[in-house]
Amino acid sequence: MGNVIALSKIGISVLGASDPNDFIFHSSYNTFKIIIEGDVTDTIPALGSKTIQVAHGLPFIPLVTAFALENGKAWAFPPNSPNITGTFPRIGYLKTGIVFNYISADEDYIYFNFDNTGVANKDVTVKFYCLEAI
Amino acid sequence: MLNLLEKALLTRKYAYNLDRVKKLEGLLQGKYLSMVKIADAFFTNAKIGSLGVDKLTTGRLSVGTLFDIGDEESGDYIRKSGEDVRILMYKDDIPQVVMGLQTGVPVFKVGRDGVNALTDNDPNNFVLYVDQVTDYALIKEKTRGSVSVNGSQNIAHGLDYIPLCFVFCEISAGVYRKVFGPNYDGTGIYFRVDGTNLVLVNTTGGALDFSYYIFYDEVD
Repeated sequence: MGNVIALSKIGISVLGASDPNDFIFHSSYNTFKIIIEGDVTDTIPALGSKTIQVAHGLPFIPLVTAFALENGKAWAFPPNSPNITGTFPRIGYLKTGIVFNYISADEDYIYFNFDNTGVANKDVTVKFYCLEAI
Repeated sequence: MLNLLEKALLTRKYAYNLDRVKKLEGLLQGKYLSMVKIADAFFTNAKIGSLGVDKLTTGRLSVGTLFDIGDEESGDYIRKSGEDVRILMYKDDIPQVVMGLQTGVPVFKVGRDGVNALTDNDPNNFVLYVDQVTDYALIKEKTRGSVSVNGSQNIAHGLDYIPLCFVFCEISAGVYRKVFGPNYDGTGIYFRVDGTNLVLVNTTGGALDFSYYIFYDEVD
Protein backbone atom coordinates (compact mmCIF):
# COMPACT_ATOMS: atom_id res chain seq x y z
CA MET A 1 0.00 0.00 0.00
CA GLY A 2 3.01 2.28 0.38
CA ASN A 3 3.14 5.30 2.62
CA VAL A 4 -0.18 6.30 4.14
CA ILE A 5 -1.61 8.63 6.72
CA ALA A 6 -4.21 6.75 8.73
CA LEU A 7 -6.19 7.51 11.88
CA SER A 8 -8.03 4.60 13.45
CA LYS A 9 -11.15 4.65 15.57
CA ILE A 10 -10.89 4.58 19.36
CA GLY A 11 -9.38 1.33 20.67
CA ILE A 12 -8.26 0.07 17.25
CA SER A 13 -4.59 -0.34 16.36
CA VAL A 14 -3.83 1.85 13.40
CA LEU A 15 -1.07 -0.55 12.37
CA GLY A 16 -3.17 -3.71 12.68
CA ALA A 17 -6.45 -2.50 11.16
CA SER A 18 -7.33 -3.36 7.56
CA ASP A 19 -11.11 -2.78 7.44
CA PRO A 20 -11.79 0.71 6.04
CA ASN A 21 -14.62 1.02 8.57
CA ASP A 22 -12.07 0.91 11.38
CA PHE A 23 -10.56 4.21 10.30
CA ILE A 24 -11.62 7.77 10.87
CA PHE A 25 -9.37 8.78 8.01
CA HIS A 26 -7.16 6.84 5.64
CA SER A 27 -5.22 8.51 2.88
CA SER A 28 -5.85 5.57 0.53
CA TYR A 29 -9.58 6.34 0.43
CA ASN A 30 -10.99 9.55 -0.97
CA THR A 31 -13.24 11.56 1.30
CA PHE A 32 -15.86 13.91 -0.04
CA LYS A 33 -15.04 17.52 0.64
CA ILE A 34 -17.59 20.28 1.07
CA ILE A 35 -16.57 22.64 -1.69
CA ILE A 36 -19.39 25.09 -1.06
CA GLU A 37 -22.18 25.21 1.47
CA GLY A 38 -24.94 27.72 1.71
CA ASP A 39 -28.60 28.36 2.24
CA VAL A 40 -31.34 30.05 0.30
CA THR A 41 -34.83 31.08 1.37
CA ASP A 42 -37.76 31.53 -0.99
CA THR A 43 -41.54 31.50 -1.05
CA ILE A 44 -43.45 28.64 -2.62
CA PRO A 45 -46.76 30.00 -3.95
CA ALA A 46 -50.06 28.53 -2.78
CA LEU A 47 -51.34 25.72 -4.98
CA GLY A 48 -48.25 26.08 -7.12
CA SER A 49 -44.69 25.04 -7.76
CA LYS A 50 -41.36 26.76 -7.74
CA THR A 51 -37.82 25.95 -8.76
CA ILE A 52 -35.31 27.85 -6.65
CA GLN A 53 -32.19 28.55 -8.67
CA VAL A 54 -28.77 29.27 -7.16
CA ALA A 55 -25.60 30.06 -9.14
CA HIS A 56 -22.81 27.85 -7.79
CA GLY A 57 -19.87 29.59 -9.51
CA LEU A 58 -17.88 26.38 -9.80
CA PRO A 59 -15.96 25.33 -12.92
CA PHE A 60 -17.66 21.93 -12.89
CA ILE A 61 -21.07 20.33 -12.33
CA PRO A 62 -21.16 19.75 -8.58
CA LEU A 63 -22.50 16.79 -6.67
CA VAL A 64 -25.14 18.41 -4.47
CA THR A 65 -27.04 17.27 -1.45
CA ALA A 66 -29.55 19.41 0.45
CA PHE A 67 -32.27 19.58 3.07
CA ALA A 68 -35.27 21.90 3.34
CA LEU A 69 -36.71 23.61 6.37
CA GLU A 70 -40.23 25.02 6.20
CA ASN A 71 -40.68 28.32 7.99
CA GLY A 72 -42.08 27.76 11.46
CA LYS A 73 -41.31 24.04 11.49
CA ALA A 74 -38.61 22.43 13.54
CA TRP A 75 -37.33 19.66 11.28
CA ALA A 76 -35.46 19.44 8.02
CA PHE A 77 -36.50 17.07 5.26
CA PRO A 78 -34.71 15.71 2.20
CA PRO A 79 -35.74 15.81 -1.47
CA ASN A 80 -38.21 13.31 -2.89
CA SER A 81 -40.46 13.74 0.12
CA PRO A 82 -43.29 15.82 1.52
CA ASN A 83 -43.03 17.69 4.76
CA ILE A 84 -44.82 15.55 7.32
CA THR A 85 -45.88 16.87 10.69
CA GLY A 86 -46.79 13.52 12.15
CA THR A 87 -48.23 10.05 11.67
CA PHE A 88 -51.53 9.06 13.21
CA PRO A 89 -53.44 5.75 13.41
CA ARG A 90 -56.15 5.45 10.72
CA ILE A 91 -55.32 8.96 9.48
CA GLY A 92 -51.84 8.30 8.16
CA TYR A 93 -49.42 11.06 7.35
CA LEU A 94 -50.33 14.63 8.23
CA LYS A 95 -48.62 16.85 5.64
CA THR A 96 -47.97 20.57 5.56
CA GLY A 97 -48.49 20.75 1.80
CA ILE A 98 -44.86 21.45 0.96
CA VAL A 99 -43.16 18.82 -1.19
CA PHE A 100 -39.40 18.94 -1.87
CA ASN A 101 -39.32 17.22 -5.26
CA TYR A 102 -35.71 17.23 -6.37
CA ILE A 103 -32.21 18.72 -6.55
CA SER A 104 -30.52 19.16 -9.89
CA ALA A 105 -27.31 20.84 -11.00
CA ASP A 106 -25.73 21.89 -14.26
CA GLU A 107 -22.61 23.85 -15.19
CA ASP A 108 -23.98 27.11 -13.79
CA TYR A 109 -26.81 26.51 -11.35
CA ILE A 110 -28.27 24.34 -8.64
CA TYR A 111 -32.04 23.82 -8.77
CA PHE A 112 -34.37 22.99 -5.88
CA ASN A 113 -37.91 22.14 -6.95
CA PHE A 114 -40.92 22.41 -4.63
CA ASP A 115 -44.69 21.97 -4.76
CA ASN A 116 -47.11 23.66 -2.42
CA THR A 117 -50.52 21.99 -2.24
CA GLY A 118 -51.64 24.33 0.52
CA VAL A 119 -53.83 27.42 0.10
CA ALA A 120 -51.28 29.82 1.57
CA ASN A 121 -47.81 30.85 0.40
CA LYS A 122 -45.07 29.17 2.38
CA ASP A 123 -41.43 30.05 2.95
CA VAL A 124 -38.78 27.37 2.84
CA THR A 125 -35.06 27.53 3.48
CA VAL A 126 -32.79 25.10 1.69
CA LYS A 127 -29.42 24.22 3.18
CA PHE A 128 -27.17 22.80 0.49
CA TYR A 129 -23.72 21.28 0.15
CA CYS A 130 -21.68 20.99 -3.06
CA LEU A 131 -19.36 18.08 -2.38
CA GLU A 132 -17.26 17.72 -5.51
CA ALA A 133 -17.53 17.23 -9.25
CA ILE A 134 -19.97 14.70 -10.66
CA MET B 1 42.89 33.08 43.22
CA LEU B 2 45.10 33.44 40.14
CA ASN B 3 48.56 34.85 40.34
CA LEU B 4 49.80 37.43 37.87
CA LEU B 5 51.52 34.86 35.70
CA GLU B 6 48.35 32.74 35.38
CA LYS B 7 46.24 35.80 34.62
CA ALA B 8 48.62 36.87 31.89
CA LEU B 9 48.59 33.38 30.41
CA LEU B 10 44.79 33.23 30.34
CA THR B 11 44.57 36.71 28.87
CA ARG B 12 46.94 35.73 26.05
CA LYS B 13 44.98 32.53 25.39
CA TYR B 14 41.71 34.43 25.32
CA ALA B 15 43.10 37.00 22.90
CA TYR B 16 44.51 34.22 20.73
CA ASN B 17 41.18 32.31 20.63
CA LEU B 18 39.25 35.48 19.98
CA ASP B 19 41.50 36.22 17.05
CA ARG B 20 40.99 32.68 15.66
CA VAL B 21 37.24 32.94 16.01
CA LYS B 22 37.26 36.23 14.13
CA LYS B 23 39.36 34.70 11.37
CA LEU B 24 36.98 31.72 11.19
CA GLU B 25 33.98 34.01 11.00
CA GLY B 26 35.69 35.90 8.22
CA LEU B 27 36.32 32.69 6.30
CA LEU B 28 32.76 31.43 6.70
CA GLN B 29 31.03 34.72 5.99
CA GLY B 30 28.58 34.09 3.16
CA LYS B 31 30.06 30.65 2.45
CA TYR B 32 28.19 27.36 2.02
CA LEU B 33 29.43 24.57 4.24
CA SER B 34 29.44 21.07 2.76
CA MET B 35 29.62 19.35 6.14
CA VAL B 36 29.57 20.57 9.70
CA LYS B 37 29.75 18.31 12.70
CA ILE B 38 28.81 19.64 16.09
CA ALA B 39 29.29 17.41 19.09
CA ASP B 40 27.87 17.98 22.55
CA ALA B 41 26.92 21.52 21.77
CA PHE B 42 24.17 23.47 23.47
CA PHE B 43 22.25 26.23 21.82
CA THR B 44 19.92 28.64 23.50
CA ASN B 45 17.68 30.71 21.26
CA ALA B 46 19.79 29.83 18.24
CA LYS B 47 18.37 30.84 14.89
CA ILE B 48 19.32 29.59 11.46
CA GLY B 49 18.80 32.39 9.00
CA SER B 50 19.09 30.22 5.93
CA LEU B 51 19.68 26.51 5.50
CA GLY B 52 19.99 24.61 2.26
CA VAL B 53 20.69 20.90 2.54
CA ASP B 54 19.57 17.74 0.77
CA LYS B 55 19.11 15.94 4.04
CA LEU B 56 19.13 17.10 7.63
CA THR B 57 19.73 14.43 10.26
CA THR B 58 19.40 15.25 13.91
CA GLY B 59 19.72 13.34 17.10
CA ARG B 60 17.02 13.35 19.74
CA LEU B 61 15.89 16.83 20.63
CA SER B 62 15.83 17.17 24.36
CA VAL B 63 12.77 17.64 26.55
CA GLY B 64 11.68 21.22 26.50
CA THR B 65 13.14 21.86 23.08
CA LEU B 66 11.32 24.44 21.04
CA PHE B 67 11.79 24.56 17.33
CA ASP B 68 10.06 26.31 14.47
CA ILE B 69 9.97 25.42 10.80
CA GLY B 70 9.18 28.52 8.84
CA ASP B 71 9.38 32.12 9.81
CA GLU B 72 7.52 33.03 12.99
CA GLU B 73 7.51 36.67 11.97
CA SER B 74 5.43 35.84 8.90
CA GLY B 75 2.80 34.14 11.07
CA ASP B 76 2.98 30.89 9.07
CA TYR B 77 5.14 28.23 10.67
CA ILE B 78 5.25 24.79 12.29
CA ARG B 79 6.18 24.64 15.96
CA LYS B 80 7.07 21.99 18.45
CA SER B 81 6.38 23.99 21.54
CA GLY B 82 8.56 23.41 24.54
CA GLU B 83 7.64 20.46 26.71
CA ASP B 84 4.34 19.86 24.91
CA VAL B 85 4.50 16.60 22.98
CA ARG B 86 2.78 17.99 19.94
CA ILE B 87 3.29 19.80 16.69
CA LEU B 88 1.35 22.96 15.92
CA MET B 89 0.96 24.40 12.45
CA TYR B 90 0.27 28.10 12.42
CA LYS B 91 -1.37 30.15 9.73
CA ASP B 92 -1.71 33.85 10.33
CA ASP B 93 -0.40 33.23 13.85
CA ILE B 94 -3.34 30.89 14.59
CA PRO B 95 -2.58 27.23 15.43
CA GLN B 96 -4.89 25.66 12.85
CA VAL B 97 -3.44 22.14 13.09
CA VAL B 98 -2.54 20.29 16.26
CA MET B 99 -1.01 16.82 16.25
CA GLY B 100 0.06 15.24 19.51
CA LEU B 101 -1.03 15.54 23.10
CA GLN B 102 -3.63 17.99 24.32
CA THR B 103 -4.41 17.80 28.04
CA GLY B 104 -2.72 14.41 28.01
CA VAL B 105 -4.84 12.94 25.21
CA PRO B 106 -3.53 12.20 21.71
CA VAL B 107 -5.37 14.37 19.20
CA PHE B 108 -5.15 15.20 15.51
CA LYS B 109 -7.21 18.25 14.62
CA VAL B 110 -7.19 20.21 11.39
CA GLY B 111 -9.26 23.36 11.70
CA ARG B 112 -11.03 25.21 8.95
CA ASP B 113 -9.45 28.44 7.86
CA GLY B 114 -9.15 30.79 10.81
CA VAL B 115 -10.09 28.22 13.45
CA ASN B 116 -7.83 27.86 16.48
CA ALA B 117 -7.39 24.10 16.81
CA LEU B 118 -6.09 24.38 20.36
CA THR B 119 -9.04 26.27 21.81
CA ASP B 120 -11.98 25.37 19.55
CA ASN B 121 -13.85 22.19 20.47
CA ASP B 122 -16.70 22.24 17.94
CA PRO B 123 -16.16 19.41 15.39
CA ASN B 124 -18.17 21.42 12.84
CA ASN B 125 -15.28 23.86 12.65
CA PHE B 126 -12.78 21.20 11.63
CA VAL B 127 -11.82 19.41 8.45
CA LEU B 128 -10.50 16.54 10.57
CA TYR B 129 -11.19 16.04 14.28
CA VAL B 130 -9.75 13.15 16.27
CA ASP B 131 -9.98 13.54 20.04
CA GLN B 132 -10.22 9.97 21.44
CA VAL B 133 -13.69 10.77 22.80
CA THR B 134 -15.94 10.40 19.77
CA ASP B 135 -15.20 8.86 16.35
CA TYR B 136 -15.89 11.61 13.85
CA ALA B 137 -15.27 9.28 10.92
CA LEU B 138 -14.99 10.65 7.39
CA ILE B 139 -16.83 8.72 4.71
CA LYS B 140 -14.40 6.80 2.53
CA GLU B 141 -14.99 6.32 -1.16
CA LYS B 142 -14.57 2.80 -2.55
CA THR B 143 -15.45 3.35 -6.16
CA ARG B 144 -17.39 5.49 -8.56
CA GLY B 145 -18.61 5.15 -12.08
CA SER B 146 -21.06 6.08 -14.78
CA VAL B 147 -23.39 3.77 -16.63
CA SER B 148 -26.25 4.06 -19.09
CA VAL B 149 -29.38 2.44 -17.71
CA ASN B 150 -32.60 1.44 -19.42
CA GLY B 151 -34.51 -0.76 -17.02
CA SER B 152 -32.45 -2.14 -14.17
CA GLN B 153 -28.70 -2.30 -13.77
CA ASN B 154 -26.82 -4.10 -10.99
CA ILE B 155 -23.50 -2.69 -9.82
CA ALA B 156 -21.68 -5.26 -7.66
CA HIS B 157 -20.12 -3.36 -4.78
CA GLY B 158 -17.91 -6.23 -3.56
CA LEU B 159 -18.57 -5.62 0.13
CA ASP B 160 -20.13 -8.06 2.58
CA TYR B 161 -22.47 -5.44 4.00
CA ILE B 162 -24.78 -2.69 2.72
CA PRO B 163 -22.67 0.38 1.92
CA LEU B 164 -23.50 4.06 1.76
CA CYS B 165 -24.13 5.16 -1.85
CA PHE B 166 -24.84 8.38 -3.71
CA VAL B 167 -26.52 8.29 -7.12
CA PHE B 168 -27.17 11.00 -9.70
CA CYS B 169 -28.94 10.80 -13.04
CA GLU B 170 -28.42 12.98 -16.10
CA ILE B 171 -32.07 13.90 -16.38
CA SER B 172 -31.43 16.05 -19.46
CA ALA B 173 -28.26 17.04 -21.29
CA GLY B 174 -25.78 18.36 -18.71
CA VAL B 175 -28.33 18.44 -15.85
CA TYR B 176 -27.79 15.95 -13.02
CA ARG B 177 -30.52 15.15 -10.52
CA LYS B 178 -29.93 13.47 -7.19
CA VAL B 179 -31.62 10.07 -7.12
CA PHE B 180 -33.47 8.66 -4.13
CA GLY B 181 -35.70 5.67 -3.36
CA PRO B 182 -38.70 4.54 -5.40
CA ASN B 183 -41.58 5.64 -3.22
CA TYR B 184 -42.57 9.15 -3.90
CA ASP B 185 -41.54 11.18 -6.91
CA GLY B 186 -43.03 8.94 -9.56
CA THR B 187 -40.25 9.61 -12.05
CA GLY B 188 -39.43 5.92 -12.35
CA ILE B 189 -35.79 6.74 -11.57
CA TYR B 190 -34.48 5.37 -8.31
CA PHE B 191 -31.93 3.12 -6.64
CA ARG B 192 -31.63 0.64 -3.84
CA VAL B 193 -28.72 -1.17 -2.19
CA ASP B 194 -28.45 -4.65 -0.78
CA GLY B 195 -25.59 -6.74 0.54
CA THR B 196 -24.36 -7.50 -2.98
CA ASN B 197 -25.43 -4.83 -5.43
CA LEU B 198 -26.23 -1.21 -5.94
CA VAL B 199 -29.32 -1.45 -8.16
CA LEU B 200 -29.98 1.44 -10.53
CA VAL B 201 -33.48 1.61 -11.99
CA ASN B 202 -34.85 3.64 -14.88
CA THR B 203 -38.39 2.83 -16.00
CA THR B 204 -38.88 5.89 -18.19
CA GLY B 205 -38.53 3.80 -21.34
CA GLY B 206 -35.38 5.49 -22.62
CA ALA B 207 -31.75 5.10 -21.57
CA LEU B 208 -30.34 7.59 -19.07
CA ASP B 209 -26.82 8.05 -17.73
CA PHE B 210 -26.33 7.41 -14.02
CA SER B 211 -23.31 8.46 -11.95
CA TYR B 212 -22.82 6.50 -8.75
CA TYR B 213 -20.51 6.65 -5.73
CA ILE B 214 -20.05 3.69 -3.38
CA PHE B 215 -18.45 4.17 0.02
CA TYR B 216 -16.85 1.74 2.41
CA ASP B 217 -19.04 3.04 5.19
CA GLU B 218 -21.81 0.73 6.36
CA VAL B 219 -25.42 1.85 6.56
CA ASP B 220 -26.69 -1.17 8.50
